[in-house]
Amino acid sequence: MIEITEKAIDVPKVLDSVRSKTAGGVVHFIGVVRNDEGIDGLTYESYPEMALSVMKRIAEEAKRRWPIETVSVVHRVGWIPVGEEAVVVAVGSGHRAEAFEACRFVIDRVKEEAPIWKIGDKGHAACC
Amino acid sequence: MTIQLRFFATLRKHFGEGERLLEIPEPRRAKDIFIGLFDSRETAERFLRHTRFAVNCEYVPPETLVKSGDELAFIPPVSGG
Repeated sequence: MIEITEKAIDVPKVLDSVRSKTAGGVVHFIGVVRNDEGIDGLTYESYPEMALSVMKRIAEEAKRRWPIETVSVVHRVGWIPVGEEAVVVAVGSGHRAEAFEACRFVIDRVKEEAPIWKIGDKGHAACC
Repeated sequence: MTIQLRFFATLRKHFGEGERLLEIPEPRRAKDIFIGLFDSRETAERFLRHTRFAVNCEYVPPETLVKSGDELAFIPPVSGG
């Protein structure tokens, strides 16, 4: 599951998307908008076609580098209130070690490469 | 030949639009197209230091030739997550 959405992220659905009878380990990362400098939330802008393409490429790269089964990445855009999820990464794998490593790899790469921006004067560092 | 330009975040604010069609007589380097959009070389250079280029949704080097029908996007420093 690789998605850009303007709606609240259905976290259980993302986690379910990487579960299987052979996935003994499911690791996830949730990036939540936090209350820095008294903000109520953040607006995210994206280049959606490219963000999807980049997220798919990163997920495929993670699957090549580690023996994992599935990777899901869902990023929300538009206005996101403090306390709600901006991004969810989930990895399903036979064992935990590679799931942890792959999950860290995917969220780091998404933050570095996906064309998504926090918009606003104070919005530069207020999430994960 | 016509190419589609896309602007985001700080660049969208700077140009006051998210996209623009541009006519070019022949394939040009992404970097040169970008510089040509600004009123002054100084402003262009300031933005250029922090801008990546994407053609048809793939990051490309600044020297990449952009051809008719391509979509050229200018990507300011990303801050998702």
